[in-house]
Amino acid sequence: MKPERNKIIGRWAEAYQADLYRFARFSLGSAADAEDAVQDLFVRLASSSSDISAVASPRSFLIRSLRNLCIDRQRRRSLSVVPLSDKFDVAEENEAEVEVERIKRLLRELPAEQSEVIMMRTAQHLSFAEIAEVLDVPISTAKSRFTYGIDKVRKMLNDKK
Amino acid sequence: MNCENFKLNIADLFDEELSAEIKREMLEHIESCDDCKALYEEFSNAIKALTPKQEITPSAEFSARLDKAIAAAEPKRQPVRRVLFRIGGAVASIAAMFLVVVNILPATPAKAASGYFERAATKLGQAQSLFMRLSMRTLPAENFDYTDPSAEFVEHTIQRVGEAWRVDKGDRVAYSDGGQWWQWVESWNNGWKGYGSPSELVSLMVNPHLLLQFEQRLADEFSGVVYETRTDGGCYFVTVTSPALGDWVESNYMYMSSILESDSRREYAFDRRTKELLAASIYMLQGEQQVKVLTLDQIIYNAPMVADDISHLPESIEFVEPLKADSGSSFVGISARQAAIKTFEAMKVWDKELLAEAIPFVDIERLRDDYQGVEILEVKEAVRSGLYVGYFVPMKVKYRNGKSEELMVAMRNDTPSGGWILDGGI
Repeated sequence: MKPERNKIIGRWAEAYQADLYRFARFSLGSAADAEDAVQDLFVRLASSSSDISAVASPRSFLIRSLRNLCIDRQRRRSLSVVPLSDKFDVAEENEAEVEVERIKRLLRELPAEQSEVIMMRTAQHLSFAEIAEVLDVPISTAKSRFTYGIDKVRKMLNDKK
Repeated sequence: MNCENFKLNIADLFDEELSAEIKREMLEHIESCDDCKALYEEFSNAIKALTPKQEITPSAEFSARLDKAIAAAEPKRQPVRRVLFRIGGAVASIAAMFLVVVNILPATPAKAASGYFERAATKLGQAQSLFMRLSMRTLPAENFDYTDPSAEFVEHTIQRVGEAWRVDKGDRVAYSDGGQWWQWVESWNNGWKGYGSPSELVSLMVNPHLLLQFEQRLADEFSGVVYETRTDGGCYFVTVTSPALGDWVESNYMYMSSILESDSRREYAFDRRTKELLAASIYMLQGEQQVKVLTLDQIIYNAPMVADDISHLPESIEFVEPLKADSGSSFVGISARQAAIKTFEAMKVWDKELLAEAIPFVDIERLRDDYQGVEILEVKEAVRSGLYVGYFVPMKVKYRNGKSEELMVAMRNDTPSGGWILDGGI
């Protein structure tokens, strides 16, 4: 057990758990899945022996790691069927959950690479520079994905009117 | 700014990091262009629709649960440094295990399984050549015994022609002409050579009949094992569930570190007509969970191969013989604990000659940055664990940079000189 390492991880957990939860909540199926993913991320970090003292930007580092973990989980679950009734039960629990489901329905129409940039900007309030760092793409790419995605949502909203 | 430029850069307006000047230019443009102004408003509305107004937070008890989970997380053992070579340990330990077992008349499934193991072992033993493909959860450069249920599957190719064999797991390859073996990791630019078998699992991979003979003996003599059998078409299936093998009285340090040292379930499929082994799977059991860690996907009996097909060695790698006649010779007649202390004291003053003798498996110059000047803070009594042939010495040390660390230093004395060498844990 390395107490120093765990102290750092504990501090990160305290500072960023809400941010990370929000990220996972938009990436995964349910609130329980999101909590599970965030917990898994920190447990993995605490049990790995990689050098974390050199991490310059913990927030980007954690979001990037969580994103990988979520992608992995989505892949594994892509074949399993979630009963519709489950989703409605969860969504009716509180207003925040209703809102998450509403936003996810809008984002569902977009390619994943666009929806994730939008979500990082609107829900996580990451700057385009931070988004570019998380995704390891140029800032211009992050911006153009955002622009294309928003343009599609804009048209969808216009069509509804 | 023109309309084209504005549309291209519209995302900038929604980025707080945008320079004030560009922002002013863009805002000036919309004041003078109704189309772009409409676009900007629609963009703003779309973004508003996608921005949560509610606080999206985890449940009230999540924070406490997370803290608890982090505190309970056990650091993973570092595989590369734990034990470098494991020669001959399992055979001795397994033999010892049989001695302590009470003989009980085997139940019928065990008896039936035993018959299949025996005939399939004979078939494997008789084959002039074997070609096998298996997948195992491990790391491509790691020692052949290393198994990690959380790792991805790594494909192994196993070829045997007469007495010669070759095992290739991607980054680490071993070849033997029947007498000497060579083992190398290209990405480390390291190669070793020696006699006998370079690893316990490799012995079983290249001599799968030994595994089946072992299973047969287990079925005949060991009482703590559960057998299930079934037939399906032309196949006969045997499932064996058994506890981890080895010595766990003093320490569980090596528990779950290899297949044999794990509670496991092993599934074998045999051809009912020819009695040949067709496929096998091994699961590690962790409480209620089971993780498949190894599958034998293909066996070709009497594959058309000759010894020359498997004998090539990489030219760029220099092979060192880790166990020389004098390895450990200054560490004869003392305990594992004393040998570990003596080795660390040699590190402190960096006694090159003594270290070369005590740590034969590693280029000691590579250790110098980390270990020169190291101080021993505490040394506990040496313990045995699992199937490891030597002892583990629990130590607490302090490095030159002021950091301290707890180590499980692997010491063994099955060397030509009978003296102790350091085999891992640093």
